[in-house]
Amino acid sequence: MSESPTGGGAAAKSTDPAFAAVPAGTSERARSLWSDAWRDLRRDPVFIIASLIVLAVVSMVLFPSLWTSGDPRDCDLSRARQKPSWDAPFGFSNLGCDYYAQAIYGAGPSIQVAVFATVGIAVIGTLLGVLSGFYGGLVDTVISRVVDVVAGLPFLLGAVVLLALMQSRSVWAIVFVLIALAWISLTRVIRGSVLSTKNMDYVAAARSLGASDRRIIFRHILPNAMAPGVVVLTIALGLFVSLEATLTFLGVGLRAPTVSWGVMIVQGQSHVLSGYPHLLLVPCLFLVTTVLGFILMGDALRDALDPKLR
Amino acid sequence: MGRYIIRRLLQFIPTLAGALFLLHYLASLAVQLNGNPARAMFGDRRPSEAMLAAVSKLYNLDDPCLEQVGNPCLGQFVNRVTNLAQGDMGSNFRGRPVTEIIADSLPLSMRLAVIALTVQILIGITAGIFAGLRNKGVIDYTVKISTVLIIAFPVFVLGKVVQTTVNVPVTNALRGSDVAPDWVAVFFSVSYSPNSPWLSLMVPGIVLGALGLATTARLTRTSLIENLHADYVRTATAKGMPRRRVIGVHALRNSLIPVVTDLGLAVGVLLSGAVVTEAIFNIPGVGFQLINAIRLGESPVIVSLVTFFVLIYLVVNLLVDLLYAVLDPRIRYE
Repeated sequence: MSESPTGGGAAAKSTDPAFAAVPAGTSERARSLWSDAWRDLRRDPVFIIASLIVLAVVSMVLFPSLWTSGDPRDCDLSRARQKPSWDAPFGFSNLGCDYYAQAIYGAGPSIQVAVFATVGIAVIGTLLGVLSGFYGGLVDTVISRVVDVVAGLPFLLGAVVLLALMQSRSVWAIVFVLIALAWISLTRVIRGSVLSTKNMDYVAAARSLGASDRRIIFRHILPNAMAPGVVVLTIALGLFVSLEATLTFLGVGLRAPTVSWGVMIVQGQSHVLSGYPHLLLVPCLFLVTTVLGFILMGDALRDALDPKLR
Repeated sequence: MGRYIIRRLLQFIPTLAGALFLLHYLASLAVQLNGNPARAMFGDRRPSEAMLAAVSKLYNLDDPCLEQVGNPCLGQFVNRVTNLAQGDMGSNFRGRPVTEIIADSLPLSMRLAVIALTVQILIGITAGIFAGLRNKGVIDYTVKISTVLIIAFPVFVLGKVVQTTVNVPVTNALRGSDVAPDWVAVFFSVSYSPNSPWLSLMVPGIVLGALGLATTARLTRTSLIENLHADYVRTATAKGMPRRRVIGVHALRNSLIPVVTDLGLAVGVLLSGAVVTEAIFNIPGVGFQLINAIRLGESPVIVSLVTFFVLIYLVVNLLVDLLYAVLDPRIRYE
């Protein structure tokens, strides 16, 4: 997330020899937190299971043909609601589409929404969190007030009202709404961790050596303040997958020609009572497993990145 | 503490005004971008100009600022807040006042919320205490795993799955058999029935409570574990106080402070979750009316209902913060 840590830093380094020692010291330290975490994570069975789930879902999005040779839009009404068989492990939908192929391709929109929204809040949340934590004063007051106001809207209700008013049902509309409401959580976390990092001795040392604000932020504060943010973002990925489906269920999310887990659940629910509960339960299973994968991954990351637990 | 309360009350006003303005601005922007929502009333038919103008006037949609994209319509905002303060939230497209809709549906939602909160508090705190007392024991892992599972279930999936796998089969099995008493059938009924206003809300209430239960249990657990290592607990044990009293009176009281704060935030989750649960179990509460308004495209009603939800949420959080000052005298608010 700290894409441009160099820039002005590199120039300063070449002109002033005193800088050579400082970044080496801090990057050593940043590396050791993450490499310690990585050593823990490699041995954590929960993290391994969670990564396998996430890997499976990501491969469904990128290469659905690895998982199925069926076409989710190749529907034939004569096969409508056929029960599961060897060729079609989850049977056929109400419109006679291969349900297994739909479940695989359904990962696409859900994960797209989650990934785009997460990238969005990562950029906005980090930027605003650093601005308000590092500079304080008026900037901090304004950002914190806006955060308070947005936090005054319960998340799901805010999303429902925004989407209902927007009258657009595209992936981008949902991404926009999720970003507009969720950036506050990361901003709060980054602000808090920047505030506590800002007063560390090594930041004071860097400042007394004449480092610029930008250098201090990117080389010293961000690498150390980012750890709690990464945990929030991982969990956010899972929650966004679940929110996309919830919004679809409430009728303000994606709509029928799109194949997504949320849309499948909405369509499947009306056939439960007539004896086809698997049309509802299959997409639910995919959805819950994916959310579970991301949340477990975030939990494992949190445990591994917290030095207090060592 | 007096200073804290005054500060907190003063802080409430800009947050409230900000949230109301945000909603108002979104609503105005939607009209500016999408055109007059009064057209939704006429469905496919094209209304005459005069008729549209009359309807627009009725719903305050005739202000010229609604045609300039990006205009915050401050005049309308002042009107809206004044009306709100006088208890007027507008009316839906069939002329029924929104306040009347809320008054009719609120008792149901309140009952649902009471059941959900009771479930969340009783089960959540109990599970959290047991897990915290036996850190890394069997109960601890059970609580950990089940709370993660519950968090992973989006509320509508949980509701739908419970309805499909519990309510439907049980209702089918009970139909025609007279082994079980009537109340069992009502308890597991697939949707709300007005004849038994509490019993048929039990399953939806439990589903809704399960949402926040996980957070409550986890928070109780961590905060209890933290407090069990505190000096005052060691002192109490050292002076020979029975363990039950050490935990029940000393550790638990302090551990529950963060849980109370979280319950305030949980009201936000409850309000949102209620919309979903009421839609699934056909409960004509406030959330159900919101879904209806979305389906009919009645954007003035959507905004009024969400404003109402936001008001409740903000007031509850204000009360919880004030309660926090009573529970924890150490708090200092600069």
